[in-house]
Amino acid sequence: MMTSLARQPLRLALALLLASSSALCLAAPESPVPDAIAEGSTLLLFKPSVSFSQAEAADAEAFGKALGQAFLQALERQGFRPLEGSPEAPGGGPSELAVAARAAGAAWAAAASLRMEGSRLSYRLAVYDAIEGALVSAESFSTYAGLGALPIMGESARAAAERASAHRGGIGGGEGETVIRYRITLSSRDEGAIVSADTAGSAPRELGRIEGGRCVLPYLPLRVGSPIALTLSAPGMRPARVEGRAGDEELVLNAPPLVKIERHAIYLDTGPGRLLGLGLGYRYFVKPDWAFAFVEARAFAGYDFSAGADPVFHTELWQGLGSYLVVPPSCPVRAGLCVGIGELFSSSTAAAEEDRVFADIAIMPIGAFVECGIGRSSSIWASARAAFSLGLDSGLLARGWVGGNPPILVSCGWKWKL
Amino acid sequence: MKPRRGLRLSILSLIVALGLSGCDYLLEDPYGGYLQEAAAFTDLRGALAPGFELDMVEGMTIAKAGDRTFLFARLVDTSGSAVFRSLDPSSLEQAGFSAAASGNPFRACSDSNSELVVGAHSYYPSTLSEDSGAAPPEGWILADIALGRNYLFPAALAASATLECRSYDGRWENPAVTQRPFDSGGGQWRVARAVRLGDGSAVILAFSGEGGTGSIKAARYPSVGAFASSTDAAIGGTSASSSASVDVDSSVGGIAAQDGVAAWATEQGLVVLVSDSGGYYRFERYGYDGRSALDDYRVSARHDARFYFEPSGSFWYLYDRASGRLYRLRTWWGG
Repeated sequence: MMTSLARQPLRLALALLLASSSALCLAAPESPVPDAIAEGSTLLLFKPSVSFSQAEAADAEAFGKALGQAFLQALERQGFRPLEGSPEAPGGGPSELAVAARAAGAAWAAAASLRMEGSRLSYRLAVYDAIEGALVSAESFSTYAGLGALPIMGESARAAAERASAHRGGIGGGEGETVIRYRITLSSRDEGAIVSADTAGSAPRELGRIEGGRCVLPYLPLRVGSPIALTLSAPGMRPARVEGRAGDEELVLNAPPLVKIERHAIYLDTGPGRLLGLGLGYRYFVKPDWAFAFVEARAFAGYDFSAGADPVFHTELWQGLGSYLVVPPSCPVRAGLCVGIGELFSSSTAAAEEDRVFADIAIMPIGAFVECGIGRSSSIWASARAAFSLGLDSGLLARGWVGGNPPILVSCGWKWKL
Repeated sequence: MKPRRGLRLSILSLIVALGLSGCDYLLEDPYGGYLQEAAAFTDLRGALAPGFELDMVEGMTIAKAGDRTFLFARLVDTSGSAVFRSLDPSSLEQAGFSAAASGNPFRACSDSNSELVVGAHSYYPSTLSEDSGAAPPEGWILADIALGRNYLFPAALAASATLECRSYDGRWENPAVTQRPFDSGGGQWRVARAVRLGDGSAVILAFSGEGGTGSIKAARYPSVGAFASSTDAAIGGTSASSSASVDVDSSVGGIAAQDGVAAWATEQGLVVLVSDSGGYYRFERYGYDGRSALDDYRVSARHDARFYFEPSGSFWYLYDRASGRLYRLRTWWGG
């Protein structure tokens, strides 16, 4: 433990060093000074806050001055333009610092704090943006309170200033030299939806939630011209991607309404040859928006209203699997394929009375459909199917493709989600 | 207009266009357009004797034997042997009479003695036992029971442009021969069908072509006797004794080759199978006045389907080879 007498030479040395200030601080290596950035480089450096026990008051004040001086010079070297004077840091947290810095006309707030307890010296350097007090750079260290602490403080100051400077240059792919000075707003009708930013190589970072039809994002120091991609998501809904580009003017992005993720769908359909009837189908999406299993029941009469015609009644039950292809769910028009098997029942008055119901089985080796979304949860589609009858003895159909020429069924229908 | 709206409108337009493009297609039963016209149908395979594996029905015709009416079908089994089998034309049930397939062309009719002529043999109408007397010569037979005469039209023309009719007095001997000029306009022609209609009139069809694809000429005579007693041009050209000539081209091959010709005479007009493509057959119906078609009809059926139209014009028959099923269908014009 160092005694009070032993500290006398230390105080003298500190005074000398402070007088010729830069000598110690510049123990840190030189780094190139970037071009001054006209806007966004102003900085308010608060007077270092120093805390100590009474015995170390003089030393603490000296170390505090040295720390503040080193931080100031390091920030200047990184292109920051500190405002004149160093006011006392307001009480509270980063938000209060940001408010004070904004009030002074600065874009950044820098604060240093130092504490001495006996022979131990600990300090912290921090830089905040003045938009909302977000921490952009910080350094802290604890060491023996001797001369050896001075170059360590200088190194910390340099590192903190460098990191802050990197942040000041902005992020994003924009080619502008200035950084936006506003917070981006996303407006949406989906209350409570989560807004997150797409970050390459990692999970999306949540930025906020929609409240009152909007979400003001945390400040993002984007360079002007930078693209921004946000994702709006909510449980049970299909995430929506919103893209924009940061400009000089305040950016307000409008998110499209979120669409429910389909797990179930029912639909009605009819089609050529089946106009005198109706089909009812159900789809369960094994993979929402992409793959589904389906069952269909369809009843119709074959009747062309010509002289001598009598209706022939048919009932079809189909089961199968289907999938959309390639086109993403957000596209209004999508196409897909399906396969299935059907049990087909027919009844004709022309047959002998005891033998009027015919049962066939057909496979659908391939079916194609094109679907067009209408509104948030309904759609209309057309499908073309090829069915091959197995030619059962109990059936009406011979073994072979069902239907005339071309051997396809064209149908259209509507669906909605449960 | 927004692109999305334009796309939707395009799809809707396509659907509407499809709808307007063919009501036939929209209303056609996808399991077979003719099903709704069916008055009866039966599976011929199930009703045949053991050992006879039906492969094809090569021709059908209606014939009377006394007061009974039969639908005769020429059935061919998988080994190529053929048999004439009789069916009840209304129910399509087996009528219990069959005969060995013989004779060319395929014919079944009654002669002036009311005997049943099937192929090359005659059968007594009451017992359906064979008459071992003189066999009728080959050719199309039209009988006039009132006059007790049989008129026979050999399929082959007597000369390149002469149509021959042989008139018998009941026995198939010593016919009186009438030869009439046939204004063919060139080509090799043959008598493809001779049909007696319910009002006593007769329709003679001639055909020229290869494998069934070719031209058809037909004319209707007030009676078969009117044909035999006249000497002016038969079918085609200017004829005082017949209706105007009906001239139709048919591009249907296989059916005509096996069934004489893909045209059938009915009391409501001449039905001609004019095309088969992509699983669809198209019929046209002509009046005997030589003018344009009265109507047409399209039916989806397999390429090896077989057809026959009753002379009454009320029903027609369709044999679907794949299912082995024979259908009795009401005609689309409601005859």
